Amino acid sequence: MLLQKELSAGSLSKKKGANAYVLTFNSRESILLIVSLINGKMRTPKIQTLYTLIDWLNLGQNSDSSTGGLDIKHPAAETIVKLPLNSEPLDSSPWLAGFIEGGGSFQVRATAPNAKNKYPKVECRFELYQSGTSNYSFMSDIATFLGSSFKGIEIRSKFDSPNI
Amino acid sequence: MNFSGIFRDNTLEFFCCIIPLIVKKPSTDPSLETNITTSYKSVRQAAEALKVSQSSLFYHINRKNENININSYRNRYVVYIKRGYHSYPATFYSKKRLTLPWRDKQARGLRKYSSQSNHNKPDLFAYYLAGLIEAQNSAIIVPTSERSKKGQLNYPSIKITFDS
Repeated sequence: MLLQKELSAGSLSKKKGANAYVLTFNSRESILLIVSLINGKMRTPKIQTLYTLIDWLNLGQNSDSSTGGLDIKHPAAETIVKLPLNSEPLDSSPWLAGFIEGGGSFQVRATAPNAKNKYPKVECRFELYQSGTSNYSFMSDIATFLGSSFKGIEIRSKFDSPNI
Repeated sequence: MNFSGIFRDNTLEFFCCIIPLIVKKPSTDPSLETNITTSYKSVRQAAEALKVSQSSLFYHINRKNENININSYRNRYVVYIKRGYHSYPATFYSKKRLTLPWRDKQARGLRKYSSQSNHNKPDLFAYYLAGLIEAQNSAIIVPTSERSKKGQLNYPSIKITFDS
C-alpha cells in the first residue's frame, strides 16, 4: 500500500491459495516511471530483463512516432538509455533493504529439550534466497559484505531446476 | 416597441449575433488555437462534429476556466448548444495531440521526485525499489510478441509479491 501510494500507481490483489499479496503495475506510465527510477541502480542479472523491457518501451515509442503520437520536434528525447550495472558499495544505498524485503527471511527456531539435548535450543537465522546459477557472484558479494559464509544449495524441485 | 415579442421570435438569432462577440476575447495564450464553431443541439452532436470522442473532451459550460491548465491542450472549441429557444456557449478543450496522456503522468511523477531531490529522498527510494524488484519475489514480464493469438495487444507488467 505504501509503495502504491508513493508511486501513485499499481493494483494490489490477493494471491490465490497463499497468504500473499501481489502488487502489479500494468499501465504504461507506471512502468515508465519505475524504469526511469531503477535504471542504473540494478545489481543482478535481472538487468537483462530490464533491458528487454526498455527495448519494448523504446520500440513502442518509435511506433507511436510513426503514427504521429510522439513529439516530432524531439523524436530522440524520449528514448530510454540502458544504464549499466550499479557497482557502488552495498552500504551506500538502501538497495539491500529492498532486496532483503523481497527475497530474505528471518527465522527463530526453538527446540524443546529431548533425549539428545538436555537444554532447550533457540536458533536465529537470516536467509536470503535467490534462484538461478547466474546469481552466484552478487550473492557472494552480499555474503562477503555481511561477513557471512555463503553456500549454494541445490534443491530438486518438481521441475528439476537448481536453486541457490 | 414590443421588445419581448422580438426576443421571443428571434432568440436564436439574438444569441448567435451576441455570443460570438462575448467569446471572441483575445486568448491569454497565443499558442492555444480557438475555434469558434456553429450551434449544435447537444454536447454529443458537438463532439461528433469535431470528430473527437466525447469522452476525450473536457468541456465547460458557462464556467470560468481558472482550473484549466491551458498548456495541456492544443485546441479550444467554442460551440453553442441549443435547447429549445435557449442557446448557451460551451467551451471544449481537446487534449494535446503532441503529448500523450501517459507522458504527462510520467512527467508529473518524475517532477514529484525531482522536487524532493534536495533531501536525497528520490534516489533512496529508487535504490530500495530496485532491490525489491530484483529480489526473488518480483518479476518483470515482457511479452515476446506484440499481439496474442486472439489479436489482443500484449503489455509488459511488473509484479511484486509480498508474502508472510
